[in-house]
Amino acid sequence: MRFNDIVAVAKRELLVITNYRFLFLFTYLVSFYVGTYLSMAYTNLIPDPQIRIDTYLAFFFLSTEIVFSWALSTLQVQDYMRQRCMETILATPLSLASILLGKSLAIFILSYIPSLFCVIIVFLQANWPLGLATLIFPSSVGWILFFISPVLLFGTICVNTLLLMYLNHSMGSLIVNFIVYLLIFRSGAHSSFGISPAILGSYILGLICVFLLSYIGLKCLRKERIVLAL
Amino acid sequence: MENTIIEVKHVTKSLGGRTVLSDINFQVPNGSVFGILGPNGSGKTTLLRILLGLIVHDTGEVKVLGQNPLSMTREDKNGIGFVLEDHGLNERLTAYQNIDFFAQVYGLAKEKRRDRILEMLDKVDLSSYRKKPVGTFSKGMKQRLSLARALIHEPRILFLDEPTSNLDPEGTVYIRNLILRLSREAGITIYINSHDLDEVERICTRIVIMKHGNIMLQGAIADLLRPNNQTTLEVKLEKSKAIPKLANLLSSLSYVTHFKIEKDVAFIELIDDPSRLPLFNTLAQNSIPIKEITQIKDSLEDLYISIVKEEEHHEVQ
Repeated sequence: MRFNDIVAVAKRELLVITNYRFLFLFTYLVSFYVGTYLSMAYTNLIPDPQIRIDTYLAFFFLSTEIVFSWALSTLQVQDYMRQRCMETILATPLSLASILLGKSLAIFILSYIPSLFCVIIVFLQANWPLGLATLIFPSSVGWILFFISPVLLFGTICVNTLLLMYLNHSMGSLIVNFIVYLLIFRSGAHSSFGISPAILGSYILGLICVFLLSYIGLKCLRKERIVLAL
Repeated sequence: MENTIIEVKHVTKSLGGRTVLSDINFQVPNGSVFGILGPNGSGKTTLLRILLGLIVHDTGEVKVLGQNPLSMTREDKNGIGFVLEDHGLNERLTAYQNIDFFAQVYGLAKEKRRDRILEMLDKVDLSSYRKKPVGTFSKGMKQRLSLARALIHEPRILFLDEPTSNLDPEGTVYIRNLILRLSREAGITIYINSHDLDEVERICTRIVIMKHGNIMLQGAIADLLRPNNQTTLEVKLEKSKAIPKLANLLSSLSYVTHFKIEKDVAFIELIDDPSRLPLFNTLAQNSIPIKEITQIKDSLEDLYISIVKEEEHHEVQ
């Protein structure tokens, strides 16, 4: 596995996904709306205003990035179904690990960076004039936002991409894609009331599971399996 | 064999309990244009996938460029180019972007990459279309672009799966000429999977005919089409009265191996090609009234159909 291979695959995926211009923008708008709507609905139930805004931010971030990456994965599946170029890519010197990480990296970049951008704007606005300070010294919510969330997101994308590769980006993989993100979203929703040792522990456990699952799945995946499913 | 670039020994492969390849043996000489012929379901694509390291064979030995395709290093894989039946191009991306991805994958240095891509696009007459999305291309253009993509890293061997299927006649001729040029000028070994007999006959030097996962026939096309260097002539007579005289004459000639006369047409098999001249002289000396003489060329189609039909006949029995 070479770093340049991962970059090459990621670059290609970025080009392909962003090439669906209208669909891509539509995906963002819908994801943003869903993220905002869900966050508000969820946090309106919290009586304390400070906890409410912190939770809102965490939940907003989590929901937008999860919805972004789910929608982008769907776009990716749809593209692979139409273009049928998987066999050609597999026959090159690229390893399965490079393909997996490259594809995941593209989805991660396209879902994490816009989510981060949106959240920083809301974060600064909500915490003004102490916004910058809270970014430099993150609160418990900031921990989720800036450190744990991206790692968890990347792990989730890896597991999901691996499953999509196992299913050869078929129609069935769209269902799997939806279920994976729904589960992550649900577990994220339950743990966004701030960081307690128990929640932090479960996050770390979740991360280990996600990466272990990716590693084992990748070790078991063979090119033959994908090719014969074509 | 030192000059061998692909070696397949006793290869078998079963998929879903069905034997797809059964004891396959052949060698591809370096620099040749090698064709695998066979009807759909004969195992051609499975064999190609094994050679590309995409699937694992059950038994036997496979060597491409002297290495097992499954354990090839990156450098070894850089010696292989391929165009599969699905051209493998993303139609949303431009011609340049598509080739650039593969150039990166094959490790072409950034500073060389652009020049090499433009050179390859120029070679397949697509340089003016480099910024156009592949989705707007015709099938022939996509196939040309796939070839440029497969050759970007200067491979030593090129695998082609049905390179001219679904192309218009103009596109077919273009691809054929390009393949021949690559073989002659660049010395690339070309391995073609096809069921287009005409195409294989025109461009391949050696062939393998497969059916139901077995090799039915293999060898150099020239040897297969003219076993023992025999030549067959079709001689049309002006008058059918000359038939008995011709029959007597032909039975006395040592270089005539076999003949058959139907109405006023004689089919004469000669021991070799140069025997035509003494035959023509003898016919002229004996005043045989000849209307027309044609040399019957055995086509690959005849050979292929005879093999496939023979097998079907055995199966029915």
